[in-house]
Amino acid sequence: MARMKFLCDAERCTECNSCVTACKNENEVPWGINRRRVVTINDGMPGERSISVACMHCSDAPCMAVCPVDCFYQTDDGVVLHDKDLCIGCGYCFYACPFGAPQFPSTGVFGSKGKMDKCTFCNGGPEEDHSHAEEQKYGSNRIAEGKLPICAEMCSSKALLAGDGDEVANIFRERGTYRGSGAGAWGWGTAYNKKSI
Amino acid sequence: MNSFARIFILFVSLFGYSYAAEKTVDAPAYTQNLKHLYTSEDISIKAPIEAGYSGVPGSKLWRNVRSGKSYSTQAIGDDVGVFINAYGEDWRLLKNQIEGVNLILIPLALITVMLIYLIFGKFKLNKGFSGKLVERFKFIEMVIHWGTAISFIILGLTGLVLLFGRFFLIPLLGKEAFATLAEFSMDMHDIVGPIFSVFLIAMIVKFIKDNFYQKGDINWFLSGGGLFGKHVDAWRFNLGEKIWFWIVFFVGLFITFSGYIMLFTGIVSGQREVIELMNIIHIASATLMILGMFGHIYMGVALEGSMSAMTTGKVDENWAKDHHSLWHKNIKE
Repeated sequence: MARMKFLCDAERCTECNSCVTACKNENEVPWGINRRRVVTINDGMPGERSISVACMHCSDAPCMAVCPVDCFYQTDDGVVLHDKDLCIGCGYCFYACPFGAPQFPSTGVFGSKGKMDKCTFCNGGPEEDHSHAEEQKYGSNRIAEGKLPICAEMCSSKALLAGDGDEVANIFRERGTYRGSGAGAWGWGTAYNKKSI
Repeated sequence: MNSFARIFILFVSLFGYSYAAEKTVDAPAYTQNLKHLYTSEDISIKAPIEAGYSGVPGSKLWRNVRSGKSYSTQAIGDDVGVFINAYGEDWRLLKNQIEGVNLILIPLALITVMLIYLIFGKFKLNKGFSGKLVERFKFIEMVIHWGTAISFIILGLTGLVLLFGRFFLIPLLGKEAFATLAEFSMDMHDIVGPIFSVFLIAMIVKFIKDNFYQKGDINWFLSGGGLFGKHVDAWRFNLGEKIWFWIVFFVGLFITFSGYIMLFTGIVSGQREVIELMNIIHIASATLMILGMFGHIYMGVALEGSMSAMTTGKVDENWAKDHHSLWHKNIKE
């Protein structure tokens, strides 16, 4: 059985934010909800690196463990999904999540945060596949169509990889051995006008 | 194994390690050709090296990712610049531990109090009821007391539903019904919380003047608070009641303070750690309060003639002489 994973190649990501845009468009994500975001370390300085962050669909997900109404479940592909009909909007998943993935539509007084929304790995929710209710609540269900998440499919530099963990790991390993890293990276000599390998 | 053998093995393994280290220190072939670049004085070459992105690939990058600091991003929202929520898992594990302690303490205390009541029953007045009544609490004091008590019981029950419902109520009710109950509980908790805090502060203001240390309180403590049959002189409140007052004072303020922070902070940038801490304080102090409440209710029920003090505001004269002799003498004058 495939175990779905995201992997963002920090050496390739150019902070173009097209994964964010693609996600918003595909899933009709409302204002103020960031199912995916790109964070840049050392912005404008030497060693700048960007990483696209979303729900990482943990094997032992803290959100699943902490939810007081037990609204999370994990599919056979290892995708962590949740049931918005059960969610009471307490925000515990946001406090427990390492990646800041859970998002809440409103931050009014009296702790009313609304139903939680997060990356679904483009896998919809508990409703019937491609039903109107599923689309309204969770966005598209590309996995049911045999496609991978739109963010990774759209990535122009192929920094963001999504899919079966083994295949993602193989692609990344091949890449890593081919290009090297740091000053040993492929093309580094050309960039800094020094003798390359 | 004797000590000589140990030392011998130690030496052998040390030799082995140093030998292995010498062997594995060789860098991959491509870096061999670039060794001269690492030692160059040219600033354009040194820049990425000094930024920490050369040598071990990404070590500094991933340390920064894990640091919990906020970095630049195009996204707008709370804590969007933070890669990793550094304390989330610590909070969850600590919360689990406190919940585990709760799960033992609360039923244990309840069972203990009920067993004591079943075994010893009611503690009778020394000379029975006299029929003469003395005013112990004013109407406003009773309103404040019952306001605090009822709102606290609602808060306690709804809080326990949210804490333990997943483990005990979902198997009974099913997920859908429990989600409705949990949502109702959360809303009730949020609405009743501020009401409780108003009553709590009113109670502190109303009762504080009788709850400071008074002469003779130490005797009450030293003779075990009348646990061994003999009644001890006490003022309007005995030392046990005074201690309960100060527990309510401090623990109650902890509960309301942390509750208000959680209620009105919601999700705000950089506040995740604060809310995690407040959540822990809230659960721990609420547990103390619930345990104290069991003892308090027991006292009201088990001591004959006590309950009327809070239901009608009046107590029997013999009750006052037995339990609060100094206070009784005081109001007689």
